[in-house]
Amino acid sequence: MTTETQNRRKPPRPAERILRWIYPDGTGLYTYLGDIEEAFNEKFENRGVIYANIWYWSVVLVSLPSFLTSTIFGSAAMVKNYLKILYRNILKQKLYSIINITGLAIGITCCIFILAYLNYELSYDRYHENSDNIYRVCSTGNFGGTDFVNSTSNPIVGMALFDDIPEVVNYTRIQRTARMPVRFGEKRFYISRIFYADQSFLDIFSFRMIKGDRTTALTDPNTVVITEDMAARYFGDEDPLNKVIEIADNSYFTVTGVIQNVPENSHFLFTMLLSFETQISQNPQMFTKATPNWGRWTNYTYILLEEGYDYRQLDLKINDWAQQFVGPIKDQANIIITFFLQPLTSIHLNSDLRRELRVNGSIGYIYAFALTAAFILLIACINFMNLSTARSSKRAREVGMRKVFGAYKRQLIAQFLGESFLYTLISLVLAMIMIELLEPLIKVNFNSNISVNYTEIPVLAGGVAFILIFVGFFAGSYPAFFLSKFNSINVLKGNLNTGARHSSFRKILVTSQFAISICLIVGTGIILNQVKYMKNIDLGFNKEQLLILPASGSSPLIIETAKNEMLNIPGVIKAAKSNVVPGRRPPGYGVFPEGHEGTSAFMMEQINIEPDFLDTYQMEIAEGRGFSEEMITDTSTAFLVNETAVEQFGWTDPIGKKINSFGREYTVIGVLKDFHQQSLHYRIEGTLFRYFPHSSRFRGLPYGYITLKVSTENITGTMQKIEDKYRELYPDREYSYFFLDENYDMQYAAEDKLSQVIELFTGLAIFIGCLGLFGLASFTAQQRTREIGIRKVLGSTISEVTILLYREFIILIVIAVTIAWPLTYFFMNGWIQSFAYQSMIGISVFIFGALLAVLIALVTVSYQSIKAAMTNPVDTLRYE
Amino acid sequence: MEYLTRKDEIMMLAILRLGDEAYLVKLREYLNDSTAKKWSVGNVFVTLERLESLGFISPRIGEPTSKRGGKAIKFYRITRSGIESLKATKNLQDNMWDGLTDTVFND
Repeated sequence: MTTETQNRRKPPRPAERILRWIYPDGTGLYTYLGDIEEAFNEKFENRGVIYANIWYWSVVLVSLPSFLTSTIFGSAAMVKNYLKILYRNILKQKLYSIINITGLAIGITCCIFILAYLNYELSYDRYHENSDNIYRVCSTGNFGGTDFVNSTSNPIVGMALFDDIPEVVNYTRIQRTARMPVRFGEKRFYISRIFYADQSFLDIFSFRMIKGDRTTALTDPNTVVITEDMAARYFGDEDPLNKVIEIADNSYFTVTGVIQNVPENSHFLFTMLLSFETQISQNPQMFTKATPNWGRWTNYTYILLEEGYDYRQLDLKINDWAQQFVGPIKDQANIIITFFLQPLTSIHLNSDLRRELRVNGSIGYIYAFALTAAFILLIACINFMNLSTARSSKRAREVGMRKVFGAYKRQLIAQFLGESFLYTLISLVLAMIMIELLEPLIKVNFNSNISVNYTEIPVLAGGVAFILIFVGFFAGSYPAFFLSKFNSINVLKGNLNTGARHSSFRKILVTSQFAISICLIVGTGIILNQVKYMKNIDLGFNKEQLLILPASGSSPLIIETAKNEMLNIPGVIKAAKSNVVPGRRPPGYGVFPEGHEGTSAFMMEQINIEPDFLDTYQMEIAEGRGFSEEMITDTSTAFLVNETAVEQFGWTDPIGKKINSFGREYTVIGVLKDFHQQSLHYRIEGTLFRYFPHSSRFRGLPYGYITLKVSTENITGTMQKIEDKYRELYPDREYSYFFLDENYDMQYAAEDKLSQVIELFTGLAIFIGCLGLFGLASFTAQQRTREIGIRKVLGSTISEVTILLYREFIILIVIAVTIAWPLTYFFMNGWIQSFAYQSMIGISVFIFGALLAVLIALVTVSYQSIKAAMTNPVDTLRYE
Repeated sequence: MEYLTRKDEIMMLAILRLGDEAYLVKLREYLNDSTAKKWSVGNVFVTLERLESLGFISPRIGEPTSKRGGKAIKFYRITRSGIESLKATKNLQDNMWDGLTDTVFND
């Protein structure tokens, strides 16, 4: 037999080690292990190495439970005794038990909820069969000196990748459209989230087809696949297949399929899929590799890679490969473009590029939530450790007796660990009950998709098991090892001095609790500050009392009529049309400003407005003038620019300067003061403003929104009149509106949610911390009753004694503050850097946080301290 | 005199039958074959340990062999009191069966 085969016949080493540990053999001969190894060898020869290894492990697993119960605890009778002692202890010290159990239960509840939330956030886009092999092709580069990272690419890249790279199994394209009116018969609604998509969309993504043939549904031009919701809305009980619907006035599409509603945990949501072939058939030369500039860069491209192929390899070579296409673009237009791939499953949490299909989550906030939940659990564990060790003197005698009667140290460790497991188990049950009660509340206030179903979500069940084991072990370990170490002779003689020897460890624990609490308080303060700052900053326009009527897809004349009719309503003060409203990103175009050398264009955002727009929004003009209806050139060759644009162009005297856009020359007639078109996450971009006449034949309709400034008086009446007027004018259209300020503030929904959750957690953390502190304070006071009695006999006043008791805690808090401040500053500064406009992190919020912690601690400690200080010394000293 | 359980009895008979070869692995093989049931390693081990602690069988440690990764074999022999209890169990069995064999088998 060769050495190699001998080696291969060895049973798995860790398993053998466990067996050796379970069945110790004083002789060192390990006869039983020999038996198992012989059987292992036989299995190895007959059934192969895998079977033999699995068998060996199964022997180990089967042996473990009986080992744990018999070897550690000794016997069932002892376990019964332990349980009885535990039960008596819980009842005897009700206050401590309640503090321990509620603290842990609250901590566990938080953790389970956060786990459920994390599970949901991580589940995004994972329901596709191929989710691990789907990648989005994104583009990045530099355009006119401005770097960009877009989630979009162009219609050609997917096709070209598919042709050239064998590992690309399939590709598909999506094109997003604006909200469009969709009509079937009498029913006409504005529908948003309509996509153009290739037939391969249905092959790559695993959305369930309910009706129609998924292999051909989107092959032909002018076909559409609609979701169940849409089918119900337009067709009710009728069969939607082969019905023809009208989309965006005068385009007709045949329904070829009904698809399931897109699950909420997707990085894109759609209502209808129009066949991409429709676009190709209208404009075939835009979709070939010969297309100059490779077509419009507004497509979303997804590719399916071969199973097991590492996308990073493709990521490395994709740019060399793309040179053949992007090289000419660089030469012609001076736009540097490169591509990169994003795994589908990482888009929701890790991607925050321009033109995302949906507002994505943020991995940073996920970490913040997880960290806070862990903190709370930690605080609860610390409580448990603190109170158990603090009470150790009460149980020292029990430990001594057990040792005298022959208990091994490991039995004692097992006893106390077992107790902490049981405490954890009780808390866990309590936590689960709380979760049942709180779930509906969380769903309403936080996220309706969070499900706390242990059987359906394995992560949750695993998490609960992990929490049980971790908390049970972590919280129980210190008391267990600490208590089991007692020397029985000393203990029984009464020489135990737990207070002094181990109070330093307790102090460290309390200090870290405080540090965590202060971190959370200060962090919450900073978040609230930033949110308040963002909501109250002068945006450069007045967002109050602006009611917006979306009107995209309607001709300029219809919008103009609607606007004028609305102006006749008494409560409407002003009205104006525009292509976007603040809170939404305007489209961008490349322009060539006067005085600019070189071939690269400047990327500018463009907002289409009309003369009344500036008045309606109360925007200010810094220089020059606004648009005027009297000036005929204003509608053809005039631009307004904002201050940022002037700065980017490097102009000193902007009025009268020329800007070249799409081959036409425009004159700058005025400069607008900068305003925040988008939330304060984003910098103010260089923006151009154009004015289109009512009869404009502009491709893609210049105006999509009517903004109405309404007076505060009788606002409900005014709104009713607006609605009546709208329905009277357009009986076949759906009426919808929103208020600008609410809509604008929705950009801060993530921050609102973050601050809400962190606030709640901070409250809980402080509460649990206080529970522990309360318990500890009552214990310390109890320990020092005799000292206090003597001090009072010798002439101390009540206030002196109280201060004496306070002092101990105050020192701890001061240490905690010095730890917490720099930590919080470090983390929160990182968070605040993610905003383009940041509030100052003032010293006041730190001082406030620390003071609040001190105050809460003092109030908590006060009851016990003052009670101890007021005790009549006769009561405490009469037994001496 | 204490009577043996069926499992103990079977185990002791197996030890007698295997003689010098009576150790866990061989006993398990023999039991698997002759009872047409799966005996797990643990099952055999626990039974042997119990019989040993009752004093019905006594162990003998063999030489460590390379076949078992350098571990020794623990062989078993039936002790005097083991033989006594086997006898008692057999007697009891015979007494109980006496005169009933025909009734049971020819029914």
